[in-house]
Amino acid sequence: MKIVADGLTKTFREKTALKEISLTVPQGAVFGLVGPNGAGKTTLIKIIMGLLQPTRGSVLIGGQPVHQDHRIKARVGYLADYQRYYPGFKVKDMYRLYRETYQKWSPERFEELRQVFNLPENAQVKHLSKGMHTQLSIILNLALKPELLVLDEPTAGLDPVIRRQFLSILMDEVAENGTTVFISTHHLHELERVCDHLAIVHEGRLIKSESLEDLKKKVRKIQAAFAGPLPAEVLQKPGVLNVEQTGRVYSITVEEGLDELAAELRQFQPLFLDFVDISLEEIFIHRMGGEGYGFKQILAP
Amino acid sequence: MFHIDQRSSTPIYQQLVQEVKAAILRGVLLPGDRLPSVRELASRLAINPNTIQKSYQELERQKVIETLRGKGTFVCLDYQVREDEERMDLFQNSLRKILVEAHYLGLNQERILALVSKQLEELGIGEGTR
Amino acid sequence: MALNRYLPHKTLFWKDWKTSLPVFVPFFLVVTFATTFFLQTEIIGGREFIGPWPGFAYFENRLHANDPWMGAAMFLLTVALAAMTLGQERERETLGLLLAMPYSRQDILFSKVVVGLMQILITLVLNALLMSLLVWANPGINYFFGLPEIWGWAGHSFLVLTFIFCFTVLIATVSGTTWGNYILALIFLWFPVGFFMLLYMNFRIWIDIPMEQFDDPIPLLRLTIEALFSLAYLKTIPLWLIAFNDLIIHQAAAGIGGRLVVPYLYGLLAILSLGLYALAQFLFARNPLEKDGEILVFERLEGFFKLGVIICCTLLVGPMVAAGVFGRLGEEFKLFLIPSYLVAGVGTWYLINRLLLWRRTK
Repeated sequence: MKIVADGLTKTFREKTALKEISLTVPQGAVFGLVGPNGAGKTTLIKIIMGLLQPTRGSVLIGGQPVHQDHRIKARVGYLADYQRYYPGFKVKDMYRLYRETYQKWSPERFEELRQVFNLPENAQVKHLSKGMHTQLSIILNLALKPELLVLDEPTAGLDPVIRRQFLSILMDEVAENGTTVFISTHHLHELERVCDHLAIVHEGRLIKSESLEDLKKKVRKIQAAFAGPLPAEVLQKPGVLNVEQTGRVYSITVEEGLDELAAELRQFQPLFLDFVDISLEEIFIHRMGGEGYGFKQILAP
Repeated sequence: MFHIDQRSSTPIYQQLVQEVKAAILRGVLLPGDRLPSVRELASRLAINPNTIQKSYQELERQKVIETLRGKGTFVCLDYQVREDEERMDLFQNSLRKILVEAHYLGLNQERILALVSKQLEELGIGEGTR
Repeated sequence: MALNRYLPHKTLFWKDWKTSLPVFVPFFLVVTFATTFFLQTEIIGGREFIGPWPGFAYFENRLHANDPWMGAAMFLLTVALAAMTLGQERERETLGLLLAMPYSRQDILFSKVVVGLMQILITLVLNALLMSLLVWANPGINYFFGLPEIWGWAGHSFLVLTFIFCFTVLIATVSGTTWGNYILALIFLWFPVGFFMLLYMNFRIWIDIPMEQFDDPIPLLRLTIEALFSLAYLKTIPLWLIAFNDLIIHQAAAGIGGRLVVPYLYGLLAILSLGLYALAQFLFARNPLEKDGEILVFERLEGFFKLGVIICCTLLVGPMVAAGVFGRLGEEFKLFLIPSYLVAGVGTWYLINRLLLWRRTK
């Protein structure tokens, strides 16, 4: 199920949380939203889910304006930034709530997942640990056979084992059912493994939104060595993110215009000139370095 | 079975290609062995299935593995270890870099060749191995 | 299938029923204790209920005569039932959970209202049944009421409590917290009577007219005074309306004209309740639901709310302050009244702003 957001702007009392965000999540994509705390990720997700109304702009899920049409939500699974529950509700009450709410509920899938996690059914939901909450959410959201999964920082605060389990099950779901996934995360490495599209938000603005494949193709490093010094202007192009020089060897991180720059450099008779792949982390460090310190959080393992 | 280093700058799909090949080389995977399905591997490694798919496609292109409809993906029985011009260029480039590095480590030709022999021995690449 | 449109969604119903039990159970117990249980003890004690039918008000008072707070409790718990059902969803942010599900806001609110009204109905009907049984099983006692009066009580209470419930639900759609809902509902239910009383009280201070001269020329004012006195029994506005009706029945001849007023008033209550519910649905659909945990959610209401509270506090606290500082009567008292109005007004304005700011920053 496709998501199309157009010019989303959200202003709260004093603050503008989102500024003209437009993005498209293609059908079947695993779309990662990344950005430091306070960038507006949760606000964006709440607007996509129809929980908040944008000040300007629109968002369509599967072609429907989600704020008006509640029925589309029958095919959407949602994991909020923190778990909310009814007091006095037990795990089995949550099962019942979801089972009876969603028409496409699959008892087989539910049983399958239930066996995997083996959660105590008579436990009060408020007594569950964060890890168990996540497991409960997985069971509930996957058993309803969603076409779209919207996950707000689902792995935050989880220990590595549960985190890994979560991502495994998510990938299994995507592989088996082609579910579209929209996931916001703090962890770049996680994103790189799991997502095929990415969007970066910072202070309410969308910095980048593209498929990982395109990104990795466009943003690469040129490693070259020259006998003589290189004139500075050659490297002062807008597409050049970063230049490191050790002796005669230059390491040039390029965001745009890779081939043109390479052609230009070849005119200076390099001793060697290679293209090197660069990790997402490096792209981030160089690209976001200018945008502010906040991005150090994303580079946590 | 396959180890993916997410901090490496090598794209994940490429790492997986190399891992599969290394596994075959080491004898962990034998010709005719069934590989995990895209779904299984995506789940096991927590990696996007498209990436796995890409790796498998590349491996198929290189005729290392083949997919039999309805049965699964298998290591080719008659995998031809052969030269491929494009990969040869890449390989020679990598080799050159390593040799430059070796030189600056203070290794002479004799030492380099000794190290190479040792590695070949450990990997089981003998004189006649194909 | 067409019937389903008029019934709430069964899962929502189950959820609302389950989560409202903490208030419903006390409500049920209080009403049962005040009515059936009380009646039972009276019967056992051999009390005799003799005399002509004195009217619902009196009947209700007798029923609650054991403890006037029981009547108050019934009223307060109904407000609590309504305040909680929406307030708790907001405070625990489970409304966010619900809205991510394929439920419309209309479904959600409808279910809550149906659950609340059903709970009230069940309580009253069960007690009416039990009391009927008690009366039927103990024929030796001379009751001044019979089965019609018991069921009349149940019907009357149901309409009154429905009104209160719907009113509070309406307040709950514009307020974000359970306590906010509760207090605002109480304030606004009392507001006409309270405001009138304050106006009258202050009016009386400025214009010294003995009580008796007010009696007949302006019956509305006298009724206001009577309503004020019945505050001791914490009657609500609807009951005040009913008391008003009693007086009309007594004053008018026993003709058709007098008798039709009763159904009119109850009909009015029912229609008002429906109107309040419709308005609540309207506002709930439009509520951006952004600031859970804030007392007032629509910004424009804040100004109106502040103004109302300031005026009331000025009228109430002004005379109190003046009386405290100076003696009760006399021209000097009136001189002090104006500055004490100012003090009360400004003080209230300051306090309200602090309160709203404090809630906002939490």
